[in-house]
Amino acid sequence: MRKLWLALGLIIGLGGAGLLVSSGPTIAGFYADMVLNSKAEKRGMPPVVFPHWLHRIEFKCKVCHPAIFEMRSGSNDIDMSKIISGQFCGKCHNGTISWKPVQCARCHSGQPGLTTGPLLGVK
Amino acid sequence: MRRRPLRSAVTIAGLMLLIGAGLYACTFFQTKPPAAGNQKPASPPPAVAAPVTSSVGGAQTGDDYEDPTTLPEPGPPYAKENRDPNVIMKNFPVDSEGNIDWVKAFKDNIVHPHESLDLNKPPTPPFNFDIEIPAVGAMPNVIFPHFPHTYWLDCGNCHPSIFVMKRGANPISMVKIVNGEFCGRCHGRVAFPISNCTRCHVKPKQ
Ligand code: HEC
Ligand code: HEC
Ligand code: HEC
Ligand code: HEC
Ligand code: HEC
Ligand code: HEC
Repeated sequence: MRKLWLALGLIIGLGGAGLLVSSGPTIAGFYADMVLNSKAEKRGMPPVVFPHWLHRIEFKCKVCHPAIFEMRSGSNDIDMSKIISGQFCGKCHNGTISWKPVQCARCHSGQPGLTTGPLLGVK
Repeated sequence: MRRRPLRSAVTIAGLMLLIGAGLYACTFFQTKPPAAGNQKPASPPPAVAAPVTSSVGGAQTGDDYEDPTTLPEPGPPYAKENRDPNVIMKNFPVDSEGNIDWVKAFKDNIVHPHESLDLNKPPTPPFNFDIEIPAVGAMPNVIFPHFPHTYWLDCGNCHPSIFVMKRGANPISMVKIVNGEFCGRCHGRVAFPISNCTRCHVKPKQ
């Protein structure tokens, strides 16, 4: 009888713990989103979130890698003056291929504190 | 009788965990980003990928988007308009784990990604060449298919910086892959995740 209770308690406890772990924190985002935050937050802007899924519907990887971006997180020295003068994101976000970089929140959409690299915590 | 405190302690701990989990689940469902439909409840969901595919070439001003002088809302703009992956990629094929199967997506003509920003550049045909990579131990062997890789990527993305262009010349191991070397440079970050063993380990040993 004592063992039964113990087993019951353990099963419920482990089940509950399992549920907690499996439902872990999720944040808005999608698999393969990249955070770029080497300078943005230091200079007072929220981190940039780059959605791979949306861009790869439109472009093959070879369009961007390695011609526009080095294929390694944080190895591209990007800043706004380069983007506005047509480098990096500005190769496309210049009003011809896609929208101009005027609406900051479209790119600077990450929560403060995110670190450069794949966006963690998404499914 | 002596053991009673232990027994009830374990049961109470279990119940508390359950309640905690329940509460957690509630907040979890509430903080999920609202579906795109929530913003315009009356309008039907937009056609799949239509807003994206129509953008290349035709300039989009984005004036309809939001006031650039206001502070950005935290979180990617997915819940806004039709920037929600769950709406845009609603009809995309998924693999056994529920991730988007981008190989099936292009084979089924669901995505037509551009080859280059120069629309006059002729496309390079993908390279149809499979390489069997033997796996140590009981796991089925890996077939590395050049075809889907060279559809998306150039030879220069992999050769020679990630893989030497010679069969068996690369010291690949599963530990290195999980640590982000070799196949793990892309798989687990952008291409399908490493947890899906059976998409790579396809060829059973005799
Ligand atoms: C529109 C441009 C674009 C396209 C298309 C694109 N990427 Fe990227 N990729 C980026 C940017 C931007 C980064 C972030 C670079 C940085 O952090 O400096 C990145 C980063 C990466 C990284 C580095 C991740 C890390 O953790 O080091 C990998 C791997 C990658 N991309 C693979 C791919 C693959 C595979 C495809 C095709 C399915 C692809 N990319 C398509 C722009 C693109
Ligand atoms: C190869 C061209 C190209 C490059 C390079 C590129 N983008 Fe894009 N991006 C696009 C296109 C095309 C769209 C779709 C826009 C549309 O539908 O109007 C897009 C859409 C987006 C979106 C979707 C959100 C929205 O509101 O539409 C974000 C965010 C974004 N890009 C960020 C970036 C960032 C950050 C970079 C640089 C790290 C970058 N992009 C580089 C072509 C590009
Ligand atoms: C096309 C996407 C995009 C848009 C739109 C955009 N940014 Fe950026 N911004 C970036 C990227 C990418 C970086 C580099 C992030 C990093 O590595 O830290 C960056 C970096 C910055 C930085 C730090 C580097 C520097 O240049 O000093 C500031 C400040 C900044 N952005 C301000 C702005 C403001 C203000 C706006 C609106 C007018 C804006 N951004 C709109 C993509 C964008
Ligand atoms: C996604 C990465 C990737 C891309 C892109 C890629 N390869 Fe490979 N390639 C590999 C891997 C992995 C191997 C096997 C290496 C091994 O067995 O250690 C390989 C092996 C080879 C070999 C050696 C075969 C042998 O029998 O020794 C040749 C030749 C080759 N690739 C040619 C190409 C060409 C040509 C392209 C462009 C059309 C290309 N590859 C694009 C990953 C890639
Ligand atoms: C440069 C990036 C890159 C590297 C390195 C890479 N892959 Fe891939 N791989 C991709 C992309 C992109 C896809 C398309 C599917 C996706 O994005 O989920 C893909 C798809 C695949 C598929 C799916 C084929 C199908 O028909 O479903 C297999 C299998 C695969 N890779 C095996 C490997 C193996 C094994 C290695 C290492 C030897 C490797 N890949 C290295 C980018 C890469
Ligand atoms: C991106 C493709 C890919 C995926 C996904 C993948 N593997 Fe592997 N795995 C490889 C390759 C390539 C090798 C060959 C390494 C070698 O030469 O021994 C390998 C080797 C192995 C080996 C042999 C021992 C070793 O370290 O080399 C084991 C065991 C293994 N994988 C288990 C797994 C398990 C379990 C999973 C799922 C959680 C998995 N693999 C998912 C590509 C993959």
